[in-house]
Amino acid sequence: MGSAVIVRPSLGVRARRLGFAIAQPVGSVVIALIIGAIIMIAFGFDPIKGYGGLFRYAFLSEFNITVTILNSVPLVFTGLAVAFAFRCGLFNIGAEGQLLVGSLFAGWLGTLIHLPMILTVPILLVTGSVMGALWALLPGVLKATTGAHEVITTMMMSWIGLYLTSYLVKNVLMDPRSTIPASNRITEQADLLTLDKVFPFLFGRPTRLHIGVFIAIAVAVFIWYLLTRTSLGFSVRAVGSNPFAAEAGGVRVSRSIVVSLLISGALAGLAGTVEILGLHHRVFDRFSAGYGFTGITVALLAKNHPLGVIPAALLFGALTNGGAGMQLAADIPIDIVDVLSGVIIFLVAAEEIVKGFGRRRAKRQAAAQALALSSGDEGAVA
Amino acid sequence: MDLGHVFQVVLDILRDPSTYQAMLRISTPLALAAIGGAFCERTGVVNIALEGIMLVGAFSGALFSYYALNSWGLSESVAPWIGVLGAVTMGMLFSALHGVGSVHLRADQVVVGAALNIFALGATGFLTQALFGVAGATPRVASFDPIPIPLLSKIPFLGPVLFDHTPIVYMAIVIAIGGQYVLFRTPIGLRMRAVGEHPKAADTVGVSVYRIRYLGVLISGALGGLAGANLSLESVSQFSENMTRGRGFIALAANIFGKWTPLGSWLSSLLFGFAESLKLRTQVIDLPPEFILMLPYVLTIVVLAGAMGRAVPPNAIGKPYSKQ
Repeated sequence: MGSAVIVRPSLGVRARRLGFAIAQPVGSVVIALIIGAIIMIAFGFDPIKGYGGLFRYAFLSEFNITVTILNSVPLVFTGLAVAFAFRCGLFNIGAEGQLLVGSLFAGWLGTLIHLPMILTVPILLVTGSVMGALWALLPGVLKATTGAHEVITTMMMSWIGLYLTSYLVKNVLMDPRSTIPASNRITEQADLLTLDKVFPFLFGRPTRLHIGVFIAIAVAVFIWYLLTRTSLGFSVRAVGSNPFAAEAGGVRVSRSIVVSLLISGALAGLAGTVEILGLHHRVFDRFSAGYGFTGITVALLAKNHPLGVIPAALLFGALTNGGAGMQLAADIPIDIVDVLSGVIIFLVAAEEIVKGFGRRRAKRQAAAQALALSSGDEGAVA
Repeated sequence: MDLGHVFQVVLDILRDPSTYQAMLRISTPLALAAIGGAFCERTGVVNIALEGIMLVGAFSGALFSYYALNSWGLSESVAPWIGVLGAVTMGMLFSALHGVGSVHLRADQVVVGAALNIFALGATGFLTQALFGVAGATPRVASFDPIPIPLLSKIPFLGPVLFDHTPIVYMAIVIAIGGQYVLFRTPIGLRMRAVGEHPKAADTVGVSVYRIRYLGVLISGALGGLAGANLSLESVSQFSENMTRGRGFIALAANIFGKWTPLGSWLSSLLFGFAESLKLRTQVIDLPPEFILMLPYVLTIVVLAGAMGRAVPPNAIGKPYSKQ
């Protein structure tokens, strides 16, 4: 890969960068909430009641916190999926399809095998990841060989995956006794342990929280390590920041593109598999509540940082859960959550707004300084 | 199912004029959005917000048509035209946001597009419920009936295929031909292409890059809005949540397959229209409906895989331009 001189910026510069990296997304969320309030008032809804309902349903009571955390677990995975591809300059907009296909095949296998838990869980998690990765393989190969834009191809694969899984659930996996399109019960050996079983001293009574929470955090740390501390991660980021320079520097660009989309697809597949093994224990038709799409928002809000994905996922876990609370408390249509997401992404993407202000201030300061200097000079001359 | 039977079914479908009539009808929203995409991307702005623009157009079309009939006292035949005006206007206003993000703020154009898609999905759903009190869909609104063209519609085979359509279907044909002329035979078209190929050079000779890019984005807003109106005022007579179902992305693919030209976009939309028209044949074709529903999406990938490499995008596409 040739030798590269890496100049590490000074501590002050890095601190300021980190401050901006945190302040900008937080600021975007705050502005989005204010815009949301204005929209609510404009349509005759009560924003205080609305946001109150949101907060209550997202955080107050053990039940609600549980739901919020459970909502955010798949979002950590899909957020990582989208973020990883983004770091390579790729927009995986079809994580939803990879999630559905991955979890369908993992769940299917889960209805067939009878092995001890210690084998079953890893086998199914790997199956889900591999099938999710496979669903992202074609867009990766097409991008690398013909340049077909991944935004279109992953989206199309997502729709194909949706119909494929729907067909398989209804026609092949369907439990004949079930009244809704759902598979047979997946082997109990595949159930992810709930936290009251792992930490009996922490939880007095049974909880729905499962070890998927820790799997999500561990995978986020692993992806952070992969991106920042390995040569694979270096190539991925090099391609993401400038593919021509990366190519010139000896990085095999097309290989990085395919590998990034494979990893991205695997993470999306994992999202659905953990969801199914931890909560549903069956494969339902269209069980995903758009986790793949919300993953896009999560990744962008986290500025594609693997560890930033965790708080971003929690926020959207809370928003989806609290959105229902807004509807119940103040009759506000739950679609407002998508409106807020759109505004948040727009503001995060439009860094220039913030930077523009900074620049204008710098310009003003410079002008003031110049003025002070020149008047000082004049004074000296006089 | 033996081969002879398959052959017979295919032959029947190909001989039936209603196949081609459906093709033209179904390709209309794709063609309009794709032509809009061609104008926008020719000026160097990637527009994945087409999906959201169409959704805004579809909603506004239904909304304005509804109010025109029920609040403003206009007749059943005038109301849908008000709907079309509303759809085009709102499509342009919405696309202006894309312009602000992509042109002025120099943000990542693909990300801004994604933000607008999510925003459109939420806003149209929110407004449907806030204004009509029910989630999911608006009530039925006044919509367009087919207007057969006198004499021409009586021609055997060609008559029903080409000359018995709703207004926006005719408009799409005119826009495809007119758009081709504007983009390749007029000074403003030349400016648009110059800005997309080499903004710096265009800037040097006095073309305002920002203004031209806004023009491209606004044209895609107008045409995307019109495409949406076709969905809510012609295909069906109401707006329902997420009714575009990925058509904006298929339109983008049609634009690429059509090599960023209006006429090419229209022709490749016909291909997708044909694939989608097979959905109406699920009774005849002995396949699970899911597989027929997949067809347009599969076709999109096949077409993109084949088209790329030969289709060269505008040189400065996706690159924000900052004037000094």
